[in-house]
Amino acid sequence: MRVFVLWRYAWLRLARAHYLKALFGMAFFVGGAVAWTNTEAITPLGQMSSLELGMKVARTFLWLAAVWIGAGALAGEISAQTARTLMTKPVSRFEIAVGMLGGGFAYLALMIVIFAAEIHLICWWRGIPVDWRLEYLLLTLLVPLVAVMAMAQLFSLLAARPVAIFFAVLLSFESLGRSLAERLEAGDVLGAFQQPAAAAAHAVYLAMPTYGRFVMSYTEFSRIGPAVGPLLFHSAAALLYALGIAAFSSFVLSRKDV
Amino acid sequence: MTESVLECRDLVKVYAVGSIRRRRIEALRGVTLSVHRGDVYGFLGENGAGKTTTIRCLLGLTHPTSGEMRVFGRDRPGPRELFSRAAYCPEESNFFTGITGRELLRLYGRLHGLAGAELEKRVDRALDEVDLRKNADRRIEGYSKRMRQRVGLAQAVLPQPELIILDEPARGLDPVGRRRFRDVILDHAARGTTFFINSHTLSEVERTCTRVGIIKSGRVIRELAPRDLVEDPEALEIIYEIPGEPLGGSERADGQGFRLRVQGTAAMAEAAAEIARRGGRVESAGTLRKSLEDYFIQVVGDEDVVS
Repeated sequence: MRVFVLWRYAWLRLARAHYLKALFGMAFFVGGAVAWTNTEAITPLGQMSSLELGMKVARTFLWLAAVWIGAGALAGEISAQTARTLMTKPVSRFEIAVGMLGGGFAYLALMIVIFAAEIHLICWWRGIPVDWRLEYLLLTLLVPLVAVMAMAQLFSLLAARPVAIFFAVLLSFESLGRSLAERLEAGDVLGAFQQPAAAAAHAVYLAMPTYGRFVMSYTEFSRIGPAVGPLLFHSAAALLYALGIAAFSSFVLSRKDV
Repeated sequence: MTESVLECRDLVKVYAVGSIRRRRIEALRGVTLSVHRGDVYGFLGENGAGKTTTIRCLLGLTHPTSGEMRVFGRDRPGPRELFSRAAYCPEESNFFTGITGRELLRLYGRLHGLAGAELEKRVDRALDEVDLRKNADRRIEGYSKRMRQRVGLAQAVLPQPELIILDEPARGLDPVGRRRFRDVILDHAARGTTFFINSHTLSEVERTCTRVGIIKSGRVIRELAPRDLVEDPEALEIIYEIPGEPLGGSERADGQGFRLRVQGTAAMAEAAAEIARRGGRVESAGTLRKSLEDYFIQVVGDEDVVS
């Protein structure tokens, strides 16, 4: 079970990285501060309860953390030259790629558990009835976060870290790829190339594990509740995506000069 | 016939650099070498000669542009197959430094499939071998360069591999550290481990290696045993004392008397007769020992020598 050893390795690396501790502390503070305000009050961001806004803040931080961790996992190992020692052990490149994602998964899971505890504590303190669906929703975030992390990891092997982060963030937006494909389909700027370009944009959009595709909003979740079927389907799809991208990352890694 | 553990034939590596105007850099231009079971093989060359690129090709960290490469008789084996039998100690001991030396060895040991009491036994043994037991529970970030290099060697010997590839193991080490490294290498070599050592420290290579390969401009130009390298049967030396003027070409010896270098036994007999005729006395005569450093400089400096 070498992949679990690599999980532990990645976990140790993340747990001892100071910038991640800072990011985590910031997320904890901001998420908590927003959730602390009046639950029923209308927030500056529109018709949204402060608790939901707190959730959104937490989710955004988790998403950014996933992009950051993914972009730094393998690329960081290569730039620090620690990859040379790791890659000269009897482990396949796929195990390394999955192991790194596993470490990130564990780190994000810890962040989510602490977030959930924080929000619960605030609810308890303010006398708001505890809504267990909140944790359930937070935990379901883990799977799409791994897909995002896998995507950032792949980009970081293909380009420099800032470029990788930029593209990972860009492709994480659900609406961006869809609107591009729709605009291409509707318009007529490229002449004969219009339809192939629209088809390509649709294919890229469908192929990209955009964050929004796998994650439910709080409102949507509140409406359907913790329905096991759709959640399992979402999770399985996202995990398959993550594994597929990890396989592609391992192929890139095996062709890369380390 | 001795089994070949590692074999390269016409290994070529071309790097394309630059994003707009691509330039081709030929790092390896047909490296051919072979390392046999039980060899302690020293791989020598100037900076930029292609030593590190050759090692990276052998380890699968970079891909050769062309050429054949066989390790343990298999054509370019995958990492699982290769590193279950081989280990690598990098030049710069770049490990994750946020954990202790013992934790790092445990982690790498587990990647080699070790567990439980066997893992602990091997970790302790590796730490003892490199004399790091006392500092094993300190974080690596607090280690000196020498200690980090010792951790590097410990993680390489931990799985008791058949082949160990060392990249500049003695660089930056003091004499005590070099001695410790040498002892570990010789101890494992005596137990049958094959070594491939990339090094600039010629004195260490001379003392440790049973075979040496010299690479220049991406090609191996010499591959032979150090015994053959340092002893030239035709180069002879006479140490003598003489009452008057010394023979032409002589130089003062370290002690009393003079030293004369001649080529061949006939020239030596002639010189000895001349010394006796002038009333002198031959103190000693024998094969002139040439240092590996002298030989290396001579070979690398000779532009026309290509195998």
